Amino acid sequence: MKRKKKLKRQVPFYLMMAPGLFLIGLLCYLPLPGLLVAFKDYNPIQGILGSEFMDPWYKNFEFFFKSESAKTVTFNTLFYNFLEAVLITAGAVALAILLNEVKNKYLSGFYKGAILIPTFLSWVVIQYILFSFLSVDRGIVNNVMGQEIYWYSEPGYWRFIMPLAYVWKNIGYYSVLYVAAIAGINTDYYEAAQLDGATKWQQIRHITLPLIRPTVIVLSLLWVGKLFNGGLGDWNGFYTLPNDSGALYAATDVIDTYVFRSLRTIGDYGMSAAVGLYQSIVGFVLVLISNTVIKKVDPDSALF
Amino acid sequence: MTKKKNHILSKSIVHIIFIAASLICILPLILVIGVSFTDENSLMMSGYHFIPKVFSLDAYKYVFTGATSVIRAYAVTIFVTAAGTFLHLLFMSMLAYALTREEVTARNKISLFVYIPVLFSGGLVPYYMLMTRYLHLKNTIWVLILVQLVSATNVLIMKNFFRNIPQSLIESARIDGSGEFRTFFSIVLPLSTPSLASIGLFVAIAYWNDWMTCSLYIETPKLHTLQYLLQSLMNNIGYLQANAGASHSMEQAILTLPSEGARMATCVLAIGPIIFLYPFLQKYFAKGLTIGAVKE
Amino acid sequence: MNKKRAMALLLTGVLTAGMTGGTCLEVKAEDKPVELSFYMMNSPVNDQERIMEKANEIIEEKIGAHLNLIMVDGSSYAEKMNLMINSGDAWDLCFTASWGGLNFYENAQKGAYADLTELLPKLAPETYSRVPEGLWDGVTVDDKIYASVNYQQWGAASRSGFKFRKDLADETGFDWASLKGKPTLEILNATGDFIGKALEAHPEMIGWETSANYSLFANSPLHWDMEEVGDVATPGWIRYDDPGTVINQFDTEEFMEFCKIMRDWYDKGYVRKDGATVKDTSPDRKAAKFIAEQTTGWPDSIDFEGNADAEKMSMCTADIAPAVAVSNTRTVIKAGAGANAAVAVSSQSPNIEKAVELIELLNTDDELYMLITQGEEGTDYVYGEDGTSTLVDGKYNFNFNEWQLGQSYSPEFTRARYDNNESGEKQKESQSIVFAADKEADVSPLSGFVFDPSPVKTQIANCSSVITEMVPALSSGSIDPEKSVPEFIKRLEGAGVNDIIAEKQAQLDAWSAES
Repeated sequence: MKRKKKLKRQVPFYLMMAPGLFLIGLLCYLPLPGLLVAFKDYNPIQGILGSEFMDPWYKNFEFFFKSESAKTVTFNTLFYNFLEAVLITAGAVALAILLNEVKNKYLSGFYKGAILIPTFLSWVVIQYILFSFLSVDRGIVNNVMGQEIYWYSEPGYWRFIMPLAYVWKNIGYYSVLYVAAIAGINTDYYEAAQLDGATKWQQIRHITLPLIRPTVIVLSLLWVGKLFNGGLGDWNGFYTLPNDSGALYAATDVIDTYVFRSLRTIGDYGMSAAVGLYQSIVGFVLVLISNTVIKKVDPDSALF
Repeated sequence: MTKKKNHILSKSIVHIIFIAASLICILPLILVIGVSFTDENSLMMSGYHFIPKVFSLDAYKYVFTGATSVIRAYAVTIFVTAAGTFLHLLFMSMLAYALTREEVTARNKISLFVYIPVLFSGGLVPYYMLMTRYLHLKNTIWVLILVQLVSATNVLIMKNFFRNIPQSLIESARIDGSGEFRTFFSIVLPLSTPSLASIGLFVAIAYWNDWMTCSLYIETPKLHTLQYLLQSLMNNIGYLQANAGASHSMEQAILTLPSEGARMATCVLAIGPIIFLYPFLQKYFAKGLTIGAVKE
Repeated sequence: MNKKRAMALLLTGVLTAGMTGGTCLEVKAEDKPVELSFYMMNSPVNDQERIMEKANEIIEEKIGAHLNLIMVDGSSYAEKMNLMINSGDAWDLCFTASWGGLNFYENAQKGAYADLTELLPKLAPETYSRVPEGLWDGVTVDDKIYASVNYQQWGAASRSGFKFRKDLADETGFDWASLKGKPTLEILNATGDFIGKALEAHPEMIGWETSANYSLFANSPLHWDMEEVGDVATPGWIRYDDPGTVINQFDTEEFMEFCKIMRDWYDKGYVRKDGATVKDTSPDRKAAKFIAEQTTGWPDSIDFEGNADAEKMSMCTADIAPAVAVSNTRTVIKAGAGANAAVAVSSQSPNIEKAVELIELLNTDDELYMLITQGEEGTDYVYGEDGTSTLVDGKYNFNFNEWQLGQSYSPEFTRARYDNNESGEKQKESQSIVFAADKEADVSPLSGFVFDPSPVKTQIANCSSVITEMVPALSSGSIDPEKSVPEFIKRLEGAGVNDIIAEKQAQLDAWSAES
């Protein structure tokens, strides 16, 4: 009797979930058999299931792991991913807390709007903007400094330019999310703290930060995982910003761009699927590790 | 006295930080606008400047009289963005809300089902097969909407917001005899406007900036989106130049492509409207600030 | 559980109905003409509907088919077409080639294109007979013809050379005419002196164009009396002097010397300092900044004085940047010449025969061809007194892409009209040079050989990433060749270049033993 009642109470919720779950099944799970292609000698006429398996099975993976660049690009991928996650999270949380201190409604709205602008721009537009600044003969930076700096030939600069570009584009987005998270905090806490004579800094440390921690953890975890997903991760900046300049590859090549470039001439679908799978597995392992750590420290914030 | 001074000092530091940040974000936009109004020759000779050295409207003339209808692309993009954002928010918020309800006993398993696609995807070819051969969505406006309709990330973010809604409110609604759907639409959603507005804004940006879908699935110029026009304007030149050896007439084909100024003008047109979405949503953010703090 | 599933199914049903409702299912009526889709690379075109309606009147009347010409932007065409082929999407005809990622040979080997060996002579006899025998070799894989060659008005033979600014050559007394037929290295050395003198008087100019897209060595084997085996971007070329041996083109004296000259020019400031990374050189070209440039390709555009192309620097007009051109290579029909521009039919098309009929119609019906490629006379283009055709602004404009649609080459020399041909007479003269060149040109020793890259795909992928990284830097002089070329070759060896060369050699040997 009780069980039945319990089930009945669930029905409306399943109805609510139905369209979302259906779409996820359709758009995300139906194409999943495509992963098989990573192990196959893909031929479009025979299709995904009909194509023959590679012999040996890892043959499609060989090209990536045998290449001299496998280590560099895997390192770059991890390095930028980690650096961006840290910089964006720290920066956005800081900006969100500061924004919360701006009491003037119009100013706060203006600031939020301004730091959001880069989020609205697509990477192509950003590529053009960057080029207008850094072009050797026509760029603004060289014009103002009166120097001839070859920005697009010197990989050293790009270890900074790439993460900064990602921070610039994403920080507004994340800080607005955190502002909303802070807005959700019950004002009673602050009132009580103020009565106890807590300073602003103490309030931030003991109320704001702990209470937005779950949001911070979830968002940074997602960043780590998503960037690895071949195709879905936002690596577009790495394709467009360096202008595909060969001199910069040491600093700007990540797994995605490397694979795209190597396979451009032969266009082999099996090989690109293999690297995609490799990226997914690296991402999966990273998320798994971070999640285990979080589970130990703060069980409520864990993803699963 | 010193306390007050300190207060003013820290306040001005906050404002200085934000003024600097705002400049860093706004100046590049001004540059794009400036270049789009600059005469092509001056652009080639004296480079890029915030304020045009030689003012010219040629770029905009070119864009509006060119072979592609910018107006039409606007209509398509706006429809896709509006419909897509609405459906995305509706489906994902219902899913996220249900996943926070303790009544749903299988919620952990279902959550896992939702998260896995963040990490694994089948790749472009099977996705393309699904869209074209099984769903027959090629050359329809629906494909532009469908492709971005789900996001596990947003489900997660919304779940976090819904968790913060006081249980007592939902319980009391139930005691009053409200059905779960009514509770969701009339109590939970209004309380979640800050989260819906912030996520909605970014879903809208994602729809607005998506050119890949259009380039893969749309073959009729009638359904081209703004970002697709922009992207192909930007990329055609490089491709044709790299392969100019293939045909006698490739060089002429390159010359028919728009100038740098025209490309920047297209940028401006493509950025314009979405940026005005923010002030419009601004009031929802403000509203959220008060409602989000309902006392338990 | 069951309830949930039923509920989900119900909702999915409603949703799918909603999603697919927008697409109209085609109703197949008996008397309706066969629908044929034709994918090509082109920017959007004004008034396309008006012209296609007129064109389809002709097509329906002649062969009972309806042409749906689909234009895809250049930047996405290669990716889009390969995706369609890889995922088995429906298409009937498409423009294809062996460059720019269009992968003609790979797709033919995969079985994506219909075998036209029998159909072409039967259903497209005029198209077939007009193209010289040797060109069909370029679209033949495993003895089967997989595409119809778009034989162009500029012919199939290649000849390359150099262009110099005429005014500056006169000013500095540069004897460009004596360079005709000289090896490229010798010309480059002479050009260096010329650029040096010219730059002294005109320091605002740039001597020579370098860019990330194009390398005078890696992209232009003909300039070095060599030819690529398979894709030009992969290692493994042959010398015309020794056509039986596949060599690593980067491990040659010529490449080393070329890089040294470029390095010298870089040090002296004859080229842009950021040449290795520049992608779009059109601003410099339009600003008439270059003193000398290479010129690719076609016999008529180099040695024919009346050709307007040869009289001006690229992307300029003759009054701003007058030019003189000189050829220095042999005239040769390369092995891949047929696959430079071709039309393929999908092996999965239900109407392969109709598609071949359409190929014949597009290639032989001049009225139809002119309509699609130029628009309507009087509305879209007008003829001047001297016979020049001028496009009307804002009207139908095919963006000069007629070469993808079919042959523009015709014995009567009437098919294509160019605004840069001042009169019909000149055009005829130019065509006769092409006509003669195609007859007299050397036929590539590789003609008929198609390299199958599948055994060495891994190595090709790895070499290709090394090449795209190093070649722009070396070809623009931004790194020191004495140190970097050996390093580059070592990296190529690590990436498996020797396997590729060996595989090419083995396939080439097997092929020559057979024929």
